[in-house]
Amino acid sequence: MAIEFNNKVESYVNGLPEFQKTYFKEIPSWLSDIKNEAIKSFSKLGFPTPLDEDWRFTNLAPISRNSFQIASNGISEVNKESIDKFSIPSLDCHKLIFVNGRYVSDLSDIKSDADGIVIKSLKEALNSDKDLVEKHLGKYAEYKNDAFISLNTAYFEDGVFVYVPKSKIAEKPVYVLNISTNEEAQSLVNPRNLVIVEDNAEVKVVEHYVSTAQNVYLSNVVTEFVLGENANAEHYMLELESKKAFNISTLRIQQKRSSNIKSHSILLGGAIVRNNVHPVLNGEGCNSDIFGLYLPKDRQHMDNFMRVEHASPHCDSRQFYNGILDDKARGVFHGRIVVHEGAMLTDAKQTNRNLLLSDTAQIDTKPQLEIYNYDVKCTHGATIGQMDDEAIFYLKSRGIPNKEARRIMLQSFTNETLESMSLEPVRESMENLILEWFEESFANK
Amino acid sequence: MLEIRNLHVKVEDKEILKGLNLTVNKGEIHSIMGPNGSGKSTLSQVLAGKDAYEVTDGEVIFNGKDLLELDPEDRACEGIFLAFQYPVEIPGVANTYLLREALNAKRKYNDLKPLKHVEFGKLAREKMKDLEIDESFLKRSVNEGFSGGEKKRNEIFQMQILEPSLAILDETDSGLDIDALQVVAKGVNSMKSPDRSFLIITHYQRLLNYIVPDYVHVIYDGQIVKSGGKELAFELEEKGYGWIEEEKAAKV
Amino acid sequence: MSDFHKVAPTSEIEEGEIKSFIVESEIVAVCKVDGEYYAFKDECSHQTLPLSDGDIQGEIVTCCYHGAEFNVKTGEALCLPATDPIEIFEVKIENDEIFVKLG
Ligand SMILES: Nc1ncnc2c1ncn2[C@@H]1O[C@H](COP(=O)(O)OP(=O)(O)O)[C@@H](O)[C@H]1O
Ligand SMILES: [Mg+2]
Repeated sequence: MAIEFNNKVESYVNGLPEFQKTYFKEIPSWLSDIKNEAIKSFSKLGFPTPLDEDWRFTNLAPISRNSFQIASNGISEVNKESIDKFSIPSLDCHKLIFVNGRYVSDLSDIKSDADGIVIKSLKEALNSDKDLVEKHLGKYAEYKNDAFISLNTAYFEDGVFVYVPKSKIAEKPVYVLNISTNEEAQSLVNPRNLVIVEDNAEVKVVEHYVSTAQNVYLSNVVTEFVLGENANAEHYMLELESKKAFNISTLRIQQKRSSNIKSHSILLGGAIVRNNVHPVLNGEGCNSDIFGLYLPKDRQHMDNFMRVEHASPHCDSRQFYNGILDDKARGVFHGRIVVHEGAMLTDAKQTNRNLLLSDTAQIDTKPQLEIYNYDVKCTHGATIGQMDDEAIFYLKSRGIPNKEARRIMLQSFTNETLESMSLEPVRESMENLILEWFEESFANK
Repeated sequence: MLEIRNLHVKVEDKEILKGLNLTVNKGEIHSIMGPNGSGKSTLSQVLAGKDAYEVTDGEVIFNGKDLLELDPEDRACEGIFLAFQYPVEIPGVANTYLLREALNAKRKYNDLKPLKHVEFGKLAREKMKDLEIDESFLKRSVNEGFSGGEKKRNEIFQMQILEPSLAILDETDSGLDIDALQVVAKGVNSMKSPDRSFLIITHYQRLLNYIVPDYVHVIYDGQIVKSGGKELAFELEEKGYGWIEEEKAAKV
Repeated sequence: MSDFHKVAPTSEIEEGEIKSFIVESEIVAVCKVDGEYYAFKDECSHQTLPLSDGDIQGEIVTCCYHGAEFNVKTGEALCLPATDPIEIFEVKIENDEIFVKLG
């Protein structure tokens, strides 16, 4: 029997026992407890409404009033070729394939890496790496006050689990491809990822979301990144969902002393997209660099919600978010920087630049500083503009054709985000997709 | 090479060029001088193809082609180059990238193969040395954070790479100190050739000490009101533009 | 994407009535004015609250939350606090069924 959800919060509450029975053979009691707690929170919170300050610009009625169901397998639609079509060409990596939120080991390819490094499906890790999972899962992404985290915590089935022990370096990046297939009914998937990087260890993780058809579904992703002292990590969120889908993702990063994270979000797909990035710099001398690029067109809506928490002294954070919006698209950038008491000598910088390619595109940008401290340096700046005609003419006067000139201008804008990516194949692949985006946009003008 | 006949140009309903005539032959250097607001930049921008300017009458023939029919990029590929009075800053686009794209666009237009990176690098470095431009220039964003002098030198650098058959310099000398002026002049002089013409727009006579024009024209209120040899420039320097104004007023 | 989608039978909406539907990933309000059906995004341009909670008088819909008014035929905002128009969707009736075109 399918587990179905409708516009009533109770339907989500009622489905959970059946869900746990159907999808977990023997669910550990600690996990079951968390799931039950999480759904209680969800039933209290419900989906956010525009009256909720953090959701002022994003109307979730198309989600809260919709009906969904737990996805069926859908594996028949996916094979080696379709995987190759979606994957990043020439990326030498550990490849984990998830179809409608479920791990498909036959299509995945996990290579052997340094001793002690664990890369596997989270569901598997619930047994094999029980202590680690229990110690960390749900400890950072708090479900008590966040409807989507609580929904994910209650209904997640699988995701990627990465563990890099002390002083170990994962040579190859971990590439996680999430594919939504063409289901009869609208599916709800809750990918849940846990990445543990111990002291002095290093890893790169790429999350990639695609679909085989342009249909309606909800991807509700939660990723927890735990960084030990002096650990280094890079994270990529490549969101290429169906143009009719909803993608809500939360990246929660917990940082210890002198650790570094660089995260990149590229948003291209989805009808309504919300990208939450929430690092907590909890230890002296941490670095957190968050890059984002959102390119909504047609009637897409993309909302970027940053919450950068400085909890210790001498930490640096950078947020660079650029958006290009066309047609009737809407964009939102919320950039909240919280500097806690005691986080002296914080250096936090935030920039959000936007280009509107049509009169009907719209962007709301909202920086927020919450500072409970002296002796901090926080800067933020937002710009909204059109393509610079003077610059276009200058390029054309040098012999560069109109389309090429426009492409160069847009590329200069997107490069700010892309050039910070250390994985060349990912960058190239995104560059190509963005070029296609430009081409399509120019063709319609 | 260039023939401008009875050119009338409007901007935002205001007539700025009011029947301008000018002929430039192959290999000639023409200088256009005139007070502020007389229409010098308007003329140069119209020749480069800026669409904010509306041509209401007249024609411009360039190497037998109707120039006004061509898009700006095609004009450039046909051999027109404008050194802007106020070069535009383009953050995020490297100088070298702009130049290579521009040069290769022009080569493609003329059915030539694109230059390889190495070949281009060699060419660029050669020219940069002559213009006393630092290597770091190539990597920097187009004109971003450049000083006034650097911007003007960059225009001359681009001109050297693109090798136009008609170069229009719009007040390239304005705001330059004497050293920078000499570098710019040297850059122009090194490009003189029987096949290349120059239209040197300037406010001051000073530049003409270094680049000797074959003809000097005075533009006033959207028309060429006086033409002569290089001595006309000295006359203007001595008497100022007021003299032209009075002469014109007397005629009416 | 810009095809017509079936929303409801015409009998479901009475004269002067406004109802809200989920169509794919969109929320659509449909109303009937002088025998004609009109559709628009069920979201006030002021605070994204549902217009279908409000009332319709002639061709004017009033947001029940903050009083903004819009013309349902043109989408035009008629009074504060709204300044931006609402999005209008094309409607067609076939075999007593209402269809709307998104985008
Ligand atoms: N884009 C424009 N919009 C409005 N007026 C303009 C524009 N460009 C030039 N003008 C006007 O045209 C006249 C001539 O300007 P310009 O060609 O720049 O003169 P010059 O270069 O000789 O100083 C001036 O009065 C100037 O204000
Ligand atoms: Mg001028």
